[in-house]
Amino acid sequence: MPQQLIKVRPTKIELVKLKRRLKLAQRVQKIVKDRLSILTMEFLQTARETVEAKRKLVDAFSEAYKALSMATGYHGYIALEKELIATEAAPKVVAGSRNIAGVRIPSFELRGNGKPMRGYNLVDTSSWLDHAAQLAEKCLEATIEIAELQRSLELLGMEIKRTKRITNALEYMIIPGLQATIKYLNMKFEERDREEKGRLKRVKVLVARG
Amino acid sequence: MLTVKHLDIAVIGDEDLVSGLRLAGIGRYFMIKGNHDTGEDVRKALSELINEPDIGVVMILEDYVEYVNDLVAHVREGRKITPVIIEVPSKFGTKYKDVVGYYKTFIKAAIGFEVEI
Repeated sequence: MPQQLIKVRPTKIELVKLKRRLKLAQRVQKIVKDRLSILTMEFLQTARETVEAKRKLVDAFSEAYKALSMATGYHGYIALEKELIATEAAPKVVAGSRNIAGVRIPSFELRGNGKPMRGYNLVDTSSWLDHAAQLAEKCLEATIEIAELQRSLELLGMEIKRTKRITNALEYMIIPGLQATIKYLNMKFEERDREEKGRLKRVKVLVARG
Repeated sequence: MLTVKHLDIAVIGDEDLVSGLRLAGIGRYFMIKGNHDTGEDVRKALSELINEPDIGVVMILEDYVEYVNDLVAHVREGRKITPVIIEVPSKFGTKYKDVVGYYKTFIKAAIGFEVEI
Protein backbone atom coordinates (compact mmCIF):
# COMPACT_ATOMS: atom_id res chain seq x y z
CA MET A 1 0.00 0.00 0.00
CA PRO A 2 1.53 3.34 -0.98
CA GLN A 3 1.84 5.60 2.00
CA GLN A 4 -0.36 8.62 2.22
CA LEU A 5 1.72 11.74 1.82
CA ILE A 6 0.99 14.63 4.11
CA LYS A 7 0.19 17.72 2.09
CA VAL A 8 2.77 20.39 2.88
CA ARG A 9 4.43 23.15 0.94
CA PRO A 10 7.86 21.94 -0.26
CA THR A 11 10.04 24.27 1.79
CA LYS A 12 12.95 23.63 4.10
CA ILE A 13 10.99 24.93 7.06
CA GLU A 14 8.30 22.30 6.50
CA LEU A 15 10.97 19.63 6.24
CA VAL A 16 12.40 20.60 9.60
CA LYS A 17 8.94 20.63 11.11
CA LEU A 18 8.19 17.18 9.71
CA LYS A 19 11.45 15.80 11.06
CA ARG A 20 10.54 17.11 14.48
CA ARG A 21 7.12 15.54 14.25
CA LEU A 22 8.66 12.21 13.26
CA LYS A 23 10.98 12.28 16.25
CA LEU A 24 8.10 13.09 18.57
CA ALA A 25 5.94 10.34 17.08
CA GLN A 26 8.71 7.81 17.56
CA ARG A 27 9.16 8.83 21.16
CA VAL A 28 5.44 8.64 21.82
CA GLN A 29 5.34 5.22 20.20
CA LYS A 30 8.01 3.94 22.54
CA ILE A 31 6.22 5.26 25.60
CA VAL A 32 2.84 3.93 24.51
CA LYS A 33 4.35 0.53 23.81
CA ASP A 34 5.86 0.41 27.28
CA ARG A 35 2.51 1.37 28.73
CA LEU A 36 0.78 -1.36 26.77
CA SER A 37 3.14 -4.00 28.11
CA ILE A 38 2.64 -2.78 31.68
CA LEU A 39 -1.13 -2.85 31.23
CA THR A 40 -1.02 -6.32 29.74
CA MET A 41 1.05 -7.69 32.60
CA GLU A 42 -1.26 -6.11 35.13
CA PHE A 43 -4.25 -7.46 33.24
CA LEU A 44 -2.99 -11.02 33.28
CA GLN A 45 -2.14 -10.80 36.96
CA THR A 46 -5.62 -9.51 37.70
CA ALA A 47 -7.15 -12.23 35.55
CA ARG A 48 -5.37 -14.91 37.56
CA GLU A 49 -6.53 -13.40 40.81
CA THR A 50 -10.06 -13.05 39.50
CA VAL A 51 -10.25 -16.72 38.63
CA GLU A 52 -9.14 -17.59 42.15
CA ALA A 53 -11.67 -15.20 43.65
CA LYS A 54 -14.47 -16.57 41.48
CA ARG A 55 -13.72 -20.10 42.68
CA LYS A 56 -13.79 -18.85 46.25
CA LEU A 57 -17.07 -17.09 45.64
CA VAL A 58 -18.73 -20.18 44.23
CA ASP A 59 -17.50 -22.28 47.16
CA ALA A 60 -18.61 -19.72 49.71
CA PHE A 61 -22.08 -19.56 48.22
CA SER A 62 -22.56 -23.30 48.05
CA GLU A 63 -21.59 -23.57 51.73
CA ALA A 64 -23.89 -20.73 52.66
CA TYR A 65 -26.85 -22.16 50.76
CA LYS A 66 -26.40 -25.46 52.57
CA ALA A 67 -26.34 -23.78 55.94
CA LEU A 68 -29.28 -21.59 55.05
CA SER A 69 -31.39 -24.51 53.94
CA MET A 70 -30.67 -26.20 57.28
CA ALA A 71 -31.71 -23.06 59.11
CA THR A 72 -34.88 -22.64 57.08
CA GLY A 73 -35.68 -26.28 57.51
CA TYR A 74 -35.32 -25.97 61.24
CA HIS A 75 -37.26 -22.74 61.73
CA GLY A 76 -39.57 -22.57 58.74
CA TYR A 77 -39.87 -19.75 56.27
CA ILE A 78 -42.30 -17.64 58.25
CA ALA A 79 -40.33 -17.65 61.47
CA LEU A 80 -37.17 -16.89 59.53
CA GLU A 81 -38.82 -13.96 57.81
CA LYS A 82 -39.79 -12.60 61.20
CA GLU A 83 -36.20 -12.73 62.40
CA LEU A 84 -34.86 -11.24 59.18
CA ILE A 85 -36.76 -8.02 59.64
CA ALA A 86 -34.39 -7.00 62.41
CA THR A 87 -31.10 -8.04 60.87
CA GLU A 88 -30.40 -5.02 58.74
CA ALA A 89 -26.90 -3.80 59.57
CA ALA A 90 -26.23 -1.82 56.40
CA PRO A 91 -22.73 -2.99 55.56
CA LYS A 92 -20.99 -0.42 53.41
CA VAL A 93 -18.38 -0.68 50.70
CA VAL A 94 -15.61 1.82 51.12
CA ALA A 95 -14.60 2.58 47.57
CA GLY A 96 -11.32 4.23 46.70
CA SER A 97 -9.28 4.03 43.57
CA ARG A 98 -5.74 3.14 42.60
CA ASN A 99 -3.84 4.25 39.57
CA ILE A 100 -2.06 1.77 37.33
CA ALA A 101 -0.32 3.27 34.30
CA GLY A 102 -2.94 5.96 34.05
CA VAL A 103 -5.99 3.74 34.58
CA ARG A 104 -8.11 4.31 37.63
CA ILE A 105 -9.09 1.00 39.08
CA PRO A 106 -11.21 0.48 42.15
CA SER A 107 -10.18 -0.71 45.53
CA PHE A 108 -13.03 -1.84 47.75
CA GLU A 109 -13.23 -2.60 51.38
CA LEU A 110 -16.14 -3.92 53.37
CA ARG A 111 -17.17 -2.12 56.54
CA GLY A 112 -19.74 -2.92 59.14
CA ASN A 113 -19.62 -6.64 58.62
CA GLY A 114 -19.37 -9.44 61.15
CA LYS A 115 -20.86 -7.80 64.17
CA PRO A 116 -21.26 -10.12 67.14
CA MET A 117 -24.93 -9.19 67.56
CA ARG A 118 -26.87 -9.70 64.38
CA GLY A 119 -30.14 -8.22 65.50
CA TYR A 120 -32.34 -11.27 65.54
CA ASN A 121 -33.81 -12.76 68.64
CA LEU A 122 -31.34 -15.09 70.30
CA VAL A 123 -34.00 -16.88 72.33
CA ASP A 124 -36.10 -17.99 69.37
CA THR A 125 -33.29 -18.98 67.07
CA SER A 126 -30.78 -21.75 66.92
CA SER A 127 -27.13 -22.10 66.16
CA TRP A 128 -28.10 -23.14 62.63
CA LEU A 129 -29.10 -19.58 61.98
CA ASP A 130 -25.88 -18.24 63.50
CA HIS A 131 -23.91 -20.58 61.30
CA ALA A 132 -25.84 -19.52 58.21
CA ALA A 133 -25.34 -15.86 59.03
CA GLN A 134 -21.62 -16.37 59.47
CA LEU A 135 -21.32 -18.07 56.11
CA ALA A 136 -23.45 -15.42 54.47
CA GLU A 137 -21.05 -12.78 55.72
CA LYS A 138 -18.20 -14.76 54.18
CA CYS A 139 -20.12 -14.67 50.89
CA LEU A 140 -20.37 -10.94 51.17
CA GLU A 141 -16.63 -10.63 51.69
CA ALA A 142 -15.93 -12.86 48.70
CA THR A 143 -18.30 -10.82 46.59
CA ILE A 144 -16.60 -7.55 47.45
CA GLU A 145 -13.24 -9.09 46.66
CA ILE A 146 -14.36 -10.28 43.27
CA ALA A 147 -16.12 -6.99 42.60
CA GLU A 148 -12.84 -5.13 42.92
CA LEU A 149 -10.94 -7.60 40.77
CA GLN A 150 -13.55 -7.99 38.08
CA ARG A 151 -14.07 -4.28 37.64
CA SER A 152 -10.29 -3.80 37.44
CA LEU A 153 -10.18 -6.48 34.80
CA GLU A 154 -12.90 -4.77 32.78
CA LEU A 155 -11.33 -1.33 33.03
CA LEU A 156 -7.86 -2.63 32.19
CA GLY A 157 -9.26 -4.55 29.24
CA MET A 158 -10.89 -1.44 27.83
CA GLU A 159 -7.73 0.57 28.33
CA ILE A 160 -5.65 -2.09 26.59
CA LYS A 161 -7.95 -1.96 23.59
CA ARG A 162 -7.61 1.83 23.40
CA THR A 163 -3.84 1.78 23.81
CA LYS A 164 -3.57 -0.85 21.13
CA ARG A 165 -5.44 1.34 18.71
CA ILE A 166 -3.02 4.17 19.41
CA THR A 167 0.08 2.02 18.90
CA ASN A 168 -1.33 0.59 15.70
CA ALA A 169 -2.18 4.03 14.37
CA LEU A 170 1.32 5.25 15.16
CA GLU A 171 3.05 2.21 13.79
CA TYR A 172 1.12 1.72 10.58
CA MET A 173 -0.23 5.14 9.69
CA ILE A 174 1.45 8.14 11.27
CA ILE A 175 5.13 7.21 11.31
CA PRO A 176 5.25 5.71 7.78
CA GLY A 177 3.32 8.72 6.49
CA LEU A 178 5.81 11.12 7.99
CA GLN A 179 8.76 9.12 6.71
CA ALA A 180 7.33 8.99 3.20
CA THR A 181 6.67 12.72 3.20
CA ILE A 182 10.19 13.48 4.38
CA LYS A 183 11.62 11.27 1.67
CA TYR A 184 9.43 12.94 -0.93
CA LEU A 185 10.54 16.40 0.18
CA ASN A 186 14.21 15.43 0.09
CA MET A 187 13.80 14.10 -3.41
CA LYS A 188 12.08 17.28 -4.45
CA PHE A 189 14.94 19.40 -3.11
CA GLU A 190 17.53 17.30 -4.92
CA GLU A 191 15.56 17.64 -8.11
CA ARG A 192 15.48 21.37 -7.65
CA ASP A 193 19.26 21.43 -7.07
CA ARG A 194 19.85 19.56 -10.28
CA GLU A 195 17.63 21.91 -12.23
CA GLU A 196 19.47 24.83 -10.72
CA LYS A 197 22.83 23.37 -11.77
CA GLY A 198 21.66 22.87 -15.33
CA ARG A 199 20.37 26.41 -15.48
CA LEU A 200 23.66 27.79 -14.16
CA LYS A 201 25.60 25.93 -16.81
CA ARG A 202 23.46 27.37 -19.58
CA VAL A 203 23.80 30.86 -18.17
CA LYS A 204 27.57 30.41 -18.01
CA VAL A 205 27.67 29.41 -21.69
CA LEU A 206 25.48 32.39 -22.61
CA VAL A 207 27.68 34.79 -20.65
CA ALA A 208 30.89 33.37 -22.20
CA ARG A 209 29.43 33.70 -25.71
CA GLY A 210 28.14 37.22 -25.14
CA MET B 1 -7.12 12.65 43.45
CA LEU B 2 -8.15 10.05 45.91
CA THR B 3 -11.75 10.14 46.87
CA VAL B 4 -13.22 7.64 49.24
CA LYS B 5 -16.91 6.94 49.11
CA HIS B 6 -19.14 4.85 51.30
CA LEU B 7 -21.44 2.89 49.09
CA ASP B 8 -24.26 0.42 49.54
CA ILE B 9 -24.52 -3.16 48.44
CA ALA B 10 -27.71 -4.25 46.72
CA VAL B 11 -29.06 -7.67 45.83
CA ILE B 12 -31.39 -8.88 43.11
CA GLY B 13 -32.22 -12.48 43.70
CA ASP B 14 -34.65 -15.23 44.53
CA GLU B 15 -35.95 -15.99 47.98
CA ASP B 16 -32.98 -18.02 49.14
CA LEU B 17 -30.31 -15.63 47.99
CA VAL B 18 -32.07 -12.66 49.46
CA SER B 19 -32.72 -14.30 52.83
CA GLY B 20 -29.12 -15.43 53.05
CA LEU B 21 -27.74 -12.01 52.35
CA ARG B 22 -30.24 -10.31 54.60
CA LEU B 23 -28.79 -12.47 57.35
CA ALA B 24 -25.46 -10.88 56.52
CA GLY B 25 -27.08 -7.52 57.03
CA ILE B 26 -27.91 -6.20 53.58
CA GLY B 27 -30.78 -3.75 53.53
CA ARG B 28 -31.23 -3.07 49.82
CA TYR B 29 -32.75 -6.05 48.13
CA PHE B 30 -35.15 -6.92 45.35
CA MET B 31 -36.77 -10.26 45.76
CA ILE B 32 -38.00 -11.66 42.48
CA LYS B 33 -40.96 -13.92 43.18
CA GLY B 34 -42.69 -16.40 40.96
CA ASN B 35 -42.15 -16.88 37.27
CA HIS B 36 -44.90 -14.78 35.77
CA ASP B 37 -42.72 -11.91 34.57
CA THR B 38 -39.24 -12.39 35.89
CA GLY B 39 -37.53 -10.55 33.07
CA GLU B 40 -39.64 -7.45 33.53
CA ASP B 41 -39.09 -7.38 37.31
CA VAL B 42 -35.35 -7.87 37.03
CA ARG B 43 -35.05 -5.17 34.41
CA LYS B 44 -36.98 -2.70 36.53
CA ALA B 45 -34.91 -3.46 39.64
CA LEU B 46 -31.57 -3.25 37.88
CA SER B 47 -32.30 -0.07 35.99
CA GLU B 48 -33.36 1.52 39.23
CA LEU B 49 -30.14 0.44 40.93
CA ILE B 50 -27.68 1.46 38.25
CA ASN B 51 -29.04 4.97 38.17
CA GLU B 52 -28.40 5.51 41.83
CA PRO B 53 -25.05 7.06 42.67
CA ASP B 54 -24.65 5.48 46.11
CA ILE B 55 -24.81 1.87 45.01
CA GLY B 56 -21.37 0.30 44.91
CA VAL B 57 -21.96 -3.35 44.19
CA VAL B 58 -25.02 -5.03 42.71
CA MET B 59 -25.22 -8.75 43.31
CA ILE B 60 -27.47 -10.42 40.80
CA LEU B 61 -28.40 -14.05 40.44
CA GLU B 62 -26.70 -15.68 37.48
CA ASP B 63 -29.98 -16.91 36.04
CA TYR B 64 -31.34 -13.38 35.80
CA VAL B 65 -28.48 -11.92 33.79
CA GLU B 66 -29.87 -13.24 30.50
CA TYR B 67 -32.86 -10.91 30.85
CA VAL B 68 -30.74 -7.81 31.22
CA ASN B 69 -27.67 -8.51 29.11
CA ASP B 70 -27.81 -5.10 27.44
CA LEU B 71 -27.95 -3.19 30.73
CA VAL B 72 -25.08 -5.22 32.16
CA ALA B 73 -22.97 -4.65 29.06
CA HIS B 74 -23.76 -0.96 29.19
CA VAL B 75 -22.58 -0.69 32.79
CA ARG B 76 -19.45 -2.72 32.10
CA GLU B 77 -18.42 -0.57 29.18
CA GLY B 78 -18.92 2.63 31.13
CA ARG B 79 -15.94 4.58 32.37
CA LYS B 80 -17.23 4.96 35.89
CA ILE B 81 -15.90 2.64 38.52
CA THR B 82 -19.18 1.94 40.25
CA PRO B 83 -21.62 0.27 40.19
CA VAL B 84 -20.07 -3.13 39.73
CA ILE B 85 -22.41 -5.92 38.74
CA ILE B 86 -21.45 -9.30 40.14
CA GLU B 87 -23.12 -12.53 39.15
CA VAL B 88 -23.58 -14.90 42.03
CA PRO B 89 -24.52 -18.58 41.81
CA SER B 90 -27.99 -19.82 42.68
CA LYS B 91 -28.75 -22.57 45.15
CA PHE B 92 -28.44 -25.13 42.38
CA GLY B 93 -24.80 -24.24 41.84
CA THR B 94 -23.15 -22.14 39.22
CA LYS B 95 -23.94 -22.10 35.53
CA TYR B 96 -20.32 -21.48 34.66
CA LYS B 97 -18.65 -24.67 35.72
CA ASP B 98 -15.53 -23.72 33.85
CA VAL B 99 -14.30 -20.61 35.61
CA VAL B 100 -11.13 -20.33 33.57
CA GLY B 101 -13.05 -20.62 30.32
CA TYR B 102 -15.40 -17.86 31.38
CA TYR B 103 -12.55 -15.43 31.82
CA LYS B 104 -10.58 -16.71 28.85
CA THR B 105 -13.12 -15.30 26.43
CA PHE B 106 -12.72 -12.02 28.27
CA ILE B 107 -8.95 -12.06 27.95
CA LYS B 108 -9.17 -12.93 24.28
CA ALA B 109 -11.45 -9.98 23.65
CA ALA B 110 -9.04 -7.60 25.35
CA ILE B 111 -5.59 -8.63 24.21
CA GLY B 112 -6.41 -10.51 21.07
CA PHE B 113 -4.94 -13.92 21.80
CA GLU B 114 -5.46 -16.66 24.30
CA VAL B 115 -3.28 -16.90 27.35
CA GLU B 116 -2.90 -19.73 29.79
CA ILE B 117 -3.82 -18.66 33.27
